Amino acid sequence: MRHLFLSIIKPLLLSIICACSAASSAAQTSDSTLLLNDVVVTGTRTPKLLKDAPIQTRVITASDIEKVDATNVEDLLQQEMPGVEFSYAMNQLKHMNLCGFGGQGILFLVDGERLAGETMDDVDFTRLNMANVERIEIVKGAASALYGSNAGGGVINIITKEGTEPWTLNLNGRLARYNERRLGGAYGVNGKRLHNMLNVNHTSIDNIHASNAENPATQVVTTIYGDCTWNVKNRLTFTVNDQLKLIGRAGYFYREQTRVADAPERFRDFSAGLKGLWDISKDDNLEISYSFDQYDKSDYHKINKLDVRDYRNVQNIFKGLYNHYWSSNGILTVGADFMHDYLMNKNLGNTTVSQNTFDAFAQYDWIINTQWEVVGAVRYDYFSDKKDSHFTPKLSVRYQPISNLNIRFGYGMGFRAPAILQLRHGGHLDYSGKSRPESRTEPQLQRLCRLHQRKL
Amino acid sequence: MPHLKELSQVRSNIHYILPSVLLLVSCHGVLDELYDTPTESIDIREGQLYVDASSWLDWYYIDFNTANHNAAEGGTSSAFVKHAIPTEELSSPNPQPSTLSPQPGIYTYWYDVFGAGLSNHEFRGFTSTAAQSEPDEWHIAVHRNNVRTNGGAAYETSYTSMYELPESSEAFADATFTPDTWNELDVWTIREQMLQGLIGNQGIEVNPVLSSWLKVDIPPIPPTFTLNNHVFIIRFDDGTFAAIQLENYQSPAGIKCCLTINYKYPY
Repeated sequence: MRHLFLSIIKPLLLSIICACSAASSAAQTSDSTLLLNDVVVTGTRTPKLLKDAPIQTRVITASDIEKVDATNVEDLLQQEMPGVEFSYAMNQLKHMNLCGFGGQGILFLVDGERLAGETMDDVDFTRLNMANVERIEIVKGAASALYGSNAGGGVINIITKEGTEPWTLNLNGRLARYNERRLGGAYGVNGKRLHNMLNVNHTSIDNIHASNAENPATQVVTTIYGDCTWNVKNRLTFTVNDQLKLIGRAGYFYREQTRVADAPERFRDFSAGLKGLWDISKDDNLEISYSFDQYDKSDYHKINKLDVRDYRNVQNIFKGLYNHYWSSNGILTVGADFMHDYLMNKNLGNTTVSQNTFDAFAQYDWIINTQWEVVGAVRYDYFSDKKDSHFTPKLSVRYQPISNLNIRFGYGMGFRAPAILQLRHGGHLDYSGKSRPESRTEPQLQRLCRLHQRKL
Repeated sequence: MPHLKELSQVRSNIHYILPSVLLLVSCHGVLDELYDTPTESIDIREGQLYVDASSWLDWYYIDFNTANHNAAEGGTSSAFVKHAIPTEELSSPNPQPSTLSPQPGIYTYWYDVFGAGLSNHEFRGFTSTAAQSEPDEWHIAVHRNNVRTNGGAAYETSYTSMYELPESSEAFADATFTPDTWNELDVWTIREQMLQGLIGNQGIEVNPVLSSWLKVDIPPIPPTFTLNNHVFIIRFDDGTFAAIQLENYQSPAGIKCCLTINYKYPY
């Protein structure tokens, strides 16, 4: 069974990444210089200067988002990220492709938290609006050693703003053709110990009816479906003292799309979380968090005035993360997560399935000297439904031969556990690229080698 | 130690914080009350019929006398009977319909579903089949959004409630009633090639006025269903009249072409 599990549902991703970064590129601007001194967290789960990060990380800043005037993550990535493509899957559901990886190969996080709910393997991108986003960190390549399943192709971590002013108020709006409307507001108050940030955003756009030309060679879809969304988030930060900080958050998301005039589809998400950050000592810190995310889909039967739910995915996640700093030459990171994943899907035989997932990981970031840095990580994942487990290693090396040249080398493995629905229905392992022909019963294995060379 | 004091405050409030957190811990989710659960049973009032006419391959024949009888008896038996649409090709096929009068059979048409819509169509083929079978006694028959009468003719009134109707059908004595007419475009039956825009339709007489009680428009895809809630008057060959109205075209679970029909017979 273990062999079968490994061979069917855990496509091995072997990536060799060699990245050469030259900060002195002629294309660099003062903005880029600032960027290199930004702190990133996604690659190692510890704060690192972008220029010193052993895992190459692409950062999209709030300024970039503002320039693009992006409403959601789809708008932004299409403008800012080479190699990203959004296309329509069945029923015009959005599908993302990042360098050959689809929704099950790229893990989306918001402030480090996973998102519940998927459609054709992709998260609901309209949930990820760009209001109040501080930056987006994108780690390409296998990151399963730190983030587990679905991080085989990379991680996109959306990090929201924390206000520093006594109070802030931001109101924004945009009007466009087809009744496109975006209205948003953010209000933050920042006291001595309490900080609260409330965000409310509303978007809408009509269905756009397109028509084919006379005698077209190929018929195309005639309606591009618009939608209406509401997104409300609140985050309360309570600084107990210099060592302890508590963060509570709650969010509500609603989207309505009318593909069928008498039965518009509704999508709702309820999220909440509590996180404690404890600086135990100068060299030790501990982060403990709980997060809840529930994503529902329903159809509103107008004539019967019934809102009938047909999908629900609920994730309860407990996390612990401990960092220990050894003077200036090493960081040990140890963490463990527990997730209870529940799914109800009426459209596939009224399926109800749940699974517990447990993982533990350890990473050591060894700063040998000013030129060499080595990061090694191992992770163990356990999935209760099939009583299966997976071991994932990762090694990253950064070499800085001269002051403005970084050479990075990485070896890592990525894996994807079956989507919870596949536990009952088989389904496809839909990695694109060099995958074998898809089969429900045959093992599927993907190996990918990459050589990256790019400038920051 | 000011920190200890603050920690003490947190500890003293922990009995408020902890239950709040535990409330969030719901393995199967929260806020179920936002949603509705469709009822299994159909509540049918007096003077009302419910017919699941969602099948593409069947006609459902309704006899109002039987419906009245059932209502008087407590509504325990069905007021309609199902007859399948013949789709098997005859071993000795009838002549092609293009050369003679309309023949029973399956008429395959291509529809411009991604372009101009159903109004743009082309005849693509014919399969000769047996004639549609019928029960001995019936008044109307329904197939999804299509309606036939047993030798009757129909008139669409401007009334939208059965209670507002005049006392008797004599009020419509001067109205123009429309009989059933030959149709080979609307009774969609064979859907194997639907993705190519090809539909096999039953060639049969249907009533265009009554069939307007549920309009199906393509594009868009999925189709748009539009309910016409006007009351229709049907005049039958035997001189009797009926008044009917489509109240709902969905089952409680949202299945389309499950028809809730208000009727008055004799009217």
